[in-house]
Amino acid sequence: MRSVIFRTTAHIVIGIMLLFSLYLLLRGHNEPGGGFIGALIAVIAFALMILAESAEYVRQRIHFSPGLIAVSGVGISLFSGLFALFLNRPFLSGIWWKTSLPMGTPLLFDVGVYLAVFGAVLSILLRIVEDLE
Amino acid sequence: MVISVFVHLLLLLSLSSLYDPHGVRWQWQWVPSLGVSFSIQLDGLSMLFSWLICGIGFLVQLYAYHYMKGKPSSALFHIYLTLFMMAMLGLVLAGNILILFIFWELTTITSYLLIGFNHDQQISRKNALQAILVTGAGGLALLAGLIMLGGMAGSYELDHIIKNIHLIKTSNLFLPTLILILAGAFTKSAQIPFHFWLPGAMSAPAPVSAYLHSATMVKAGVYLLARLSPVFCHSDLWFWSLVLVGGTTAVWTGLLALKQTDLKLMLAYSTNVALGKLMFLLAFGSRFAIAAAMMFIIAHALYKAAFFMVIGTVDKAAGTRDYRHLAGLGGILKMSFIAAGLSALSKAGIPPLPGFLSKEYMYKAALGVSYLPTAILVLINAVMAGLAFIIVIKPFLVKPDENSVPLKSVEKYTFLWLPPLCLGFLGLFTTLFGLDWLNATLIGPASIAVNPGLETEPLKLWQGINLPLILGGVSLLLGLVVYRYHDAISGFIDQITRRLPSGNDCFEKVMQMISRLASWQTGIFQHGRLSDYMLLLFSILGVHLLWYAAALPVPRTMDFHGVSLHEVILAVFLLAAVITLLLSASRLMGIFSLGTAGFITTLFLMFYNAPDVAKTQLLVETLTVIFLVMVVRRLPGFADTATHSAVRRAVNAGVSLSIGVGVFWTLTSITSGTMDTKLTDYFAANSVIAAHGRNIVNVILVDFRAMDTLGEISVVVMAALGASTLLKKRKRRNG
Repeated sequence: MRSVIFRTTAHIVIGIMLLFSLYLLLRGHNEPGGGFIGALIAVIAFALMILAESAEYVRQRIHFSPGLIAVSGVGISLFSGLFALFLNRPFLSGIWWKTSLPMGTPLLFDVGVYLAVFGAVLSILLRIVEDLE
Repeated sequence: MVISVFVHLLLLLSLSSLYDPHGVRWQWQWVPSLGVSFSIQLDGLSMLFSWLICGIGFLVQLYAYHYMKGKPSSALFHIYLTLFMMAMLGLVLAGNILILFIFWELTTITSYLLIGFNHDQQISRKNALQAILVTGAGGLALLAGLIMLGGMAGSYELDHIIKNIHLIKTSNLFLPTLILILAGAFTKSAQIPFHFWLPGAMSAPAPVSAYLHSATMVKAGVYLLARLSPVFCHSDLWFWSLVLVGGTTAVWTGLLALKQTDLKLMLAYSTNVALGKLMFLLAFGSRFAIAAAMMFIIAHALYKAAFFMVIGTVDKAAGTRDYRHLAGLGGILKMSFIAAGLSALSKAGIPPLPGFLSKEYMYKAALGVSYLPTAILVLINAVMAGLAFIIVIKPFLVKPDENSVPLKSVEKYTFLWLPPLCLGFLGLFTTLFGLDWLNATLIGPASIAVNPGLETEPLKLWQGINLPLILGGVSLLLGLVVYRYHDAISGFIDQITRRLPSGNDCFEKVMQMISRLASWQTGIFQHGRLSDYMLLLFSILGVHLLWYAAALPVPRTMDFHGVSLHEVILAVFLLAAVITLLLSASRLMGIFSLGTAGFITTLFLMFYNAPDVAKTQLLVETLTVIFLVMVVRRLPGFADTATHSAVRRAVNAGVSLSIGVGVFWTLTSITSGTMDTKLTDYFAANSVIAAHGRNIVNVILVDFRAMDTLGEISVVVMAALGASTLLKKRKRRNG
């Protein structure tokens, strides 16, 4: 029987953690952070959710299968590298749109890393928990 | 189907229009950093093979249209045939040996699809697998040989290699290269001891045999050796291996052919004979031998393709290919009979068909050497002639008796008889009216490509009465004798060969040995005990660390200046955590102390200005603890750790100590010297300018070294998929 206090606070904390993980992802290029670290925080948030609720609950909440998220992450990273090919530059060269927003393909690449790590670690975690229950 | 037929014609026309007897080359950059370019070379030898590939391919596609009619997968069949044709064409046109190898392998793969086309039959699958294993293994040998050849010549371009023969001849890699290339060619062209895959491949549909085993696939080995002949032809090993292997193959498979009762198998073994004969001729390399070989390639392709198609039609008409049950076909398959008759005359070497011409020059070449090869050739040609008579006279001309099966009329399908008939008449007309053209455009230039120093002599149909002509007559007579006493001879051969192990049995034995070896070593290395895997991994790591650490310079002095109090305190805590971990008897305690050690390490990283690494370490530690807690709380015997034996604990301690000492030694040794900071400086200087980011660690991850990261996340995802499958499987087994 899980305590009501733990469940309630867990949900609040999880929200903050997920927000923070996105923040780390976006600022990663200039300050400590990045896709890998952000993804680990997100996984820890969901681990908290598993403890507070259940693995089944988490599966319903993320809607997509973690394996699919992981594979699409690799796909996005690969895709971000293809841009450079159109400009006749080596695969995975960073292409930037500095004019309007500080955005570029490295950010897209990092999003791919985020999704790949998040999906992969979460899928193992969920599988282990479900396997043992 | 229509498209694939036109592809053949179109390619043939375009190649012919580009052709120039002196050879033309085109070159495109492909992998400039490795010096590999996509080059195409069209000279006499390539053109000769291109003509056969496209021309016979065209007729075979027509034949296959009616042969495969009504089968659900006939469209797929035409696609496979076209793919194979492209691969084969690429092989003979390649001007770079690596390109040549790629197409070589493509012919292997597409031939696998074709040989195993009737994949609902087990025998078909088995034989296709056998063919791809034998030719694939040869392909690997060939790859090694070609790479060494390119290394010796300094280039993978064929023309460059042939120009630099002097570099190759003096190299000490010459012999291994030659052996490997010969292995590749012998497997592909089904020479002894690899001859067995060719008869095995006869489980393919008739059009496949007509195409692959007459003009194309099996001639690839001959083509390769002809192409590289200028490089190797001066060596003794080349001469003797070609003579011995080719001669043995021709004689032995000729005998095996005589004992077959299935006409298609008989043809298959006679293809082995023909290939052996070609190897034999290539060994001599004189102008007559080369001309005879080139002429024989054309003659054999024409008559053998026609034969295979006719036998396919016979199979359709009678439902069997066993000559003991076939008779009276001549009355029903009239057109096929004419085609088979013309092919048999060519195979037996009767003027004025192309087979006669090649035989004439064969004897001329052999007489120029000595009497032994001449005698061998007479024997081989006698067997060939005998086979030709057996294949045609018995099924087509003999009157049906009680043994023979009833026949269906199948010649209402035009393409079941027209293509072989075309081939038969093509042979006849080429020698009668097109010989000048053949000499000037194909055989002459091709001979020069095989042996550049050669004076070519145009082939003439009639050269007066001379020794070769008489020898031709002798072999023809011997062929008639073979035909007359065929039953006795085949019984005799059967007696001899029954006691010897067949190539097929040897292949089976080797395959069994390989799979036994595989299961033996799997049992040793993949025993499924996690702790043993870990021990193996870490002991290898430990040995390596000590090995390399011993080679490093001794760290000068330990400098303890500037070590602050909080660092000492942290170090003490770290030690305490580790010692607790070692001594704790409970799993939970172990996890906690392991986590503590990890978090203290994180603090160290924070002190040394590595926030990204510290953060990652912190998060990984957290996740590890979460994972362990989730697993451990469900495990039985939660409170007590299972203890290893004392010996095992000592071994574990030894491995841990060696890793610890190795890491410590390496680190102190490296940090006491001056560090090479070139990379760090580069990243620091270019991070903002080139990659628009101030966080160097992240910039390295997503920009400078994005390729590595891409590889890493792929590995992470693969690991996750693997773990998921393993866990799922376990669940199923338990449930």
